[in-house]
Amino acid sequence: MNLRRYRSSLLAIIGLVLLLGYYWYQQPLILSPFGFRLLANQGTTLALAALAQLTVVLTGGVDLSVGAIVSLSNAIAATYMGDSPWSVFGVVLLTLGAGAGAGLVNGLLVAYGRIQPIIVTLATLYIYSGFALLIRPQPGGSVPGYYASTLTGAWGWLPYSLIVLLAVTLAFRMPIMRSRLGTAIYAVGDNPGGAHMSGIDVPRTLVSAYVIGGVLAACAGLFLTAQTTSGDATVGTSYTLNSVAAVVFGGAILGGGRGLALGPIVAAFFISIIISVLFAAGVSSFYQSVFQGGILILVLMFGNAWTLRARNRLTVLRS
Amino acid sequence: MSSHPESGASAADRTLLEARGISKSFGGVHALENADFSCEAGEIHALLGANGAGKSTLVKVLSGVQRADAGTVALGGETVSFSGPAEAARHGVATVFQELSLFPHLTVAENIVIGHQPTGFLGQISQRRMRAEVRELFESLGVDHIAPGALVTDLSLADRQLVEIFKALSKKPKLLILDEGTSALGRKEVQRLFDLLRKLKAGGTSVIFISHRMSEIREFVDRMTIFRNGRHVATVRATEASDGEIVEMMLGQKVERSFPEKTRLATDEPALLELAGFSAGSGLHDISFSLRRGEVLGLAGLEGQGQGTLLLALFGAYRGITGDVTISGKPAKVATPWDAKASGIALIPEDRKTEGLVLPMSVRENITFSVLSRLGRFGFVNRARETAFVSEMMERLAVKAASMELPARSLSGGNQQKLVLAKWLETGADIFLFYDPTRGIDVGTKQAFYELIVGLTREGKGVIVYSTETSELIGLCHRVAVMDDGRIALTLQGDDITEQDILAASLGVGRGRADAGSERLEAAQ
Repeated sequence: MNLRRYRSSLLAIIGLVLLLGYYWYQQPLILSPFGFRLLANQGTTLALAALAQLTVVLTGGVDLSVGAIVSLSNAIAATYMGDSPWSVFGVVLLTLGAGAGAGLVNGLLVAYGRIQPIIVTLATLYIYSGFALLIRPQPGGSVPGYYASTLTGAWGWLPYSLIVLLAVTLAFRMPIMRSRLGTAIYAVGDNPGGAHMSGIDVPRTLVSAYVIGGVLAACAGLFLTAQTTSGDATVGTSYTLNSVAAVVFGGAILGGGRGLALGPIVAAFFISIIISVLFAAGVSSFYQSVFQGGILILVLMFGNAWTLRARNRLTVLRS
Repeated sequence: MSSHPESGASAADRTLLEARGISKSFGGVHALENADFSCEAGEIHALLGANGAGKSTLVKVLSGVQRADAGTVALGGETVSFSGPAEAARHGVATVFQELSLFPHLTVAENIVIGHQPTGFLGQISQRRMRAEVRELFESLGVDHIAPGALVTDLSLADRQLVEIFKALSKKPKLLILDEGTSALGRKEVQRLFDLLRKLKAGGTSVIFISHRMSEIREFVDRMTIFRNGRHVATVRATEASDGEIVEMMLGQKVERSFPEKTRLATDEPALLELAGFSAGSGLHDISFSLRRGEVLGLAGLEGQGQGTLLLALFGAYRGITGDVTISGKPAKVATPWDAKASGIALIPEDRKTEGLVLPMSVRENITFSVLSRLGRFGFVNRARETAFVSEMMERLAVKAASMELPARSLSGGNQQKLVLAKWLETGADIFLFYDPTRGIDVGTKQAFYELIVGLTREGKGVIVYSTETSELIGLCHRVAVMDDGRIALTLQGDDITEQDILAASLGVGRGRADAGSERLEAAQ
């Protein structure tokens, strides 16, 4: 286990702890089972979206369609889900399949179409948003109550959302990242030419990363649906850029090859909670996004300060 | 095909690899033209040739990185056509590439076994078995200073090259190709590698070895194939041809590898650069010397004894430096590369690909980066003056490039090195620091480089050069400082600069210091 790798997550952890401390000082009620559940629910969608983004960012790409896949999943789930458990099960599978399909298209275009990831996913952002609108032209639809409460409820101090997040991370993403495919994803982002020369199937690795990203984005959409209990074809828009912010704040490098799940997850909670904190601090909602962006810049600047402490400047230039 | 006299009927079944009529061209330039190459099972075969002879292209074809335009490759009598390096590896061909194919932010162990990591339940990689596998490999070569869990980005260039070699070895190849695979290794490591390659050979593995250090490889290869201009020239037993004959075959004409005459130093010349008590962290201790105009000072010693640190520190690339730097009699500050540049110090760095050049940008842009302000006015570059300047530079340094608009990436190693130098020549620098300038470049280009270095000294510049090739230091330097553990162990001057003295001082033996020597040797193990 290389502990140094986890240092990249430290900034997000410190940030979240300080933020929660301040929030608790402002609003002592958050230290209750109810407040805790609220906090957990608030960050889970973005945490899942950040995991989706991270998987793609690790290959050296970026997925601008994450938000659109969240919207699409929300539209599908809220429109087609019936009351029976079998319908719920079927629609969840259908939604995950749609996410995988969306990721597959992204991946194929990037790997075999040889188009820049940012262009591909910018284009598919529009396409997937279009599909979402076709399925759900107006906001509406619903999901069964037990679906919502199973995902967003809590057992005492333990919010189910955290269990969902942990399950997705530990039972789905981690086994993949600890397989040869996972190493290949890091390798492709770190040194694409070297990956090819090392006998790694670079295109297949890229496609896999985008598919995994699509499935994770669909998970985010499914959780969001449980929270909102209705469908809206534009509900996911903010998740694209926020997921990128969470990934960077969480210590991953946009050039690829570096980043762990822990940092972006924690950073996702930071970014999600900051809005509530600003609200609690009495900041007018007109200024909220200004503050949100400003705080992110400050935090990232602070984070870069310690890379500049490196003894040899050249190592900084290299990284 | 110049086959060997003694290889009669038995040669056919001993042949492991047979490449015939291989042609490959890039944009109209023939890298390989109807080239033949064959290698027997269980032999160590050197592939020699000047820059542009087609060695690296042949290696890329043999290892599946590139497809030949024409020709056939047979492995063990069976015609093969690799779709990629992965398939080549499945056929038992593993290659150590000239450009490192490592992943800086994966661990050493992950790098070495990538693609064939030991896996368990659900395809999960077993970290424990992976590390064990790597440790076993390390032990086979007597390497114990690299931690399998370390990140490759934290390793020195020499250690990275070792990792690259282990990466190829971990595939347990039938045919191992080393393309300039030892250029960054120190003597001892090279010797260990040779020992290991001999062991592999005894086990039936064939090795194709490409290196410019001819004297080094002579003693351990069985046969040598010489390429020139993309064609096979000859294949000879290592014992059959003299160094002179081989160089002649490589260059197609008889050339003496000789060093230009050293610049005569005026005895009353004041010091150009003086260091007193120069130290940097744990890497450099109390370095003091002076460099006069027209002088070449060599840095020698075992790999990683502070030679590189000294050059980088002088160039302002480190923080926390103590001691006095005096340039032309005035105290100077070299806290940053900008300071160094302003003080007239130029660095031609070790890893030209990352530190010296911006590879995707053109030859022209790379040359003019450091002098743009002088090529125009009000922040605009005068294009005509720039072009004239670049052509003049390219001519002066004999840079071989079809156009100054080509990306620096497309040039050969030697020519890239010339670009780095060109960049600095016109900044008005007085002190030139060379970090192993001829590593991985061919004999002809090396010669041109020696001329350049001596040319600099004739113009009254001072030069400090670190080289892993001792013969270079002897041929070029007025004085050689042998470094050991961040200190200058001994400074040799004039006729005292001999291979034996340098080596002895590097190891801390001889010259009445034998007592310290045995200790040093142990520490170096």
